[in-house]
Amino acid sequence: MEGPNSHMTIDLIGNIYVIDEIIYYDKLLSFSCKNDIGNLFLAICIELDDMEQWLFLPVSEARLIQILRGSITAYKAFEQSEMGFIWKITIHANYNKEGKAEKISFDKLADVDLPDKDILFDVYGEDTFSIKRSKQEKILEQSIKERREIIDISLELEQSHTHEIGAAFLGNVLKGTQDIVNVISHRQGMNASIPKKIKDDNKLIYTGNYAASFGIRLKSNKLADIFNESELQRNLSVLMSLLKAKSNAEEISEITKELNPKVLSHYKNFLNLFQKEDVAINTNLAFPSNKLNNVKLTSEDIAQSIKVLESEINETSKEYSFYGKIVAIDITRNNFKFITDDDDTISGEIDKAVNIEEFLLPKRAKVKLRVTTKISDFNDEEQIEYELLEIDYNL
Amino acid sequence: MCERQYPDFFPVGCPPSDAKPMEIRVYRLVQGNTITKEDFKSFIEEGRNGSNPKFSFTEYGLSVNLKHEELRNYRRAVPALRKKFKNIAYGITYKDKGVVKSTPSAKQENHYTWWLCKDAEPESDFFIL
Repeated sequence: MEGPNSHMTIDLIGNIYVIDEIIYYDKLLSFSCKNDIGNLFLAICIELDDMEQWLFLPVSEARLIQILRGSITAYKAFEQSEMGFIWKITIHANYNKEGKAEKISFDKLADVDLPDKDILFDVYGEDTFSIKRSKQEKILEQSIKERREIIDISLELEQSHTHEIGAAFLGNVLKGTQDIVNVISHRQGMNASIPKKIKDDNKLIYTGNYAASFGIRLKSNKLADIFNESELQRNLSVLMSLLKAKSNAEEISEITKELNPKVLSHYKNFLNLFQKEDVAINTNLAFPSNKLNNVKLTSEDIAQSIKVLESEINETSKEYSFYGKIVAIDITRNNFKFITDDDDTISGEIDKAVNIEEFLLPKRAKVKLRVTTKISDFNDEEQIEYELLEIDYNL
Repeated sequence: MCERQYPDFFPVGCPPSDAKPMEIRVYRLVQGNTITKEDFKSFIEEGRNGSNPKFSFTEYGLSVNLKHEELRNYRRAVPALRKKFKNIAYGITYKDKGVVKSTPSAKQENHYTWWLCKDAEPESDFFIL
């Protein structure tokens, strides 16, 4: 029986109701649809003669979502028909109510009757990489309302517009983001362990996905203070500055000069995550202090940044002063052990110019150290060496 | 020269009032290696049912696109278009030829519909790429 609002009526399938329009050109030529009992189909016109020919692919709801999110090409969807067949429909061009259906198998179709192999019907995704201004404003509104920092990271695989991503990669991106924020915050810390307070202050919560190629939304665990500011805001701003600096070595050096020397190697590892998967990134930050920040990095930008970071950090050497306690001096091996007021334990060699006197240990002191960060050519691991340059006991 | 007179087969209310005379460069699929009047016939004129559930009266107009790449992808996505249309032409929607309206969808951000005036001859203003 003919449905009153149906788009087509086909003998073995029934009345057809359009759900999603995919391609309209002078008429609707590809769409998702359902019949009276809710069977779902992907429809595509293959011949525009007086008698039109169409392919109707029967699909489950899950498969239809996969197709419309661009997780599978249209060609593959037909090739891997869940029911093992495809309906071929013949219908009069001027009368959509007397369609005739016949079952055919995929191998009866020539490539000329199918979409090109790389075509995605990703109507649920965003075609453009950029987040539109109105969306940014919504993030800001949310950040102010919740008094929490929000960071949106959109991941785009360069070779396809898929809206799915590997679980291991996603896990690494989440962990990498938290790690780089922590190490930026750990300004004086020289050792691998990040104090609990820094971890707590900078804790990011994964709150879900948002509409993008593959959009991850993170929010601060803590609320901003009464001035709508926080330690996390300062650290996220540093991260954004680093991303914006791209491959400008001078700017990177300026941003990191007051930071923990480990930041450079952690930042390089963070960028490496994206390079390995050939993923471009678009990051939006919103702060309750009514600040918005956006930066986009293409795969090329990421590759160039890594190149600059590698030359910057293969060996860097800087001098830092620390307060704490000298706990061991070995003049036969010419080395020392020092515990900072932040409870970091540092050990290394003593410079020849340092005058070692007799004293009882431990002894409170201010020390000047040369901190040298090296990246191993073999395993890419970071090594930090410390050299004691000055001791001052007169505190 | 058209003075906003539309073909007799247009129903009342067509073209829609929000369609405007605008001169924009657009791309359109054409059947052969030369552009003919046939390339600017709506599917309604061809005797084809072309209603669009989303926009009214689009079946009386012509699909055109602002982006060559997007239009090329329609042809790659829909086998019927690939078979029927061999080339892509470009031209201007001169104000005396009709009115245009943006009629986009998720995959077709740059899709416009062009309602031609009676006796408009757009084929003379279009060129094959």
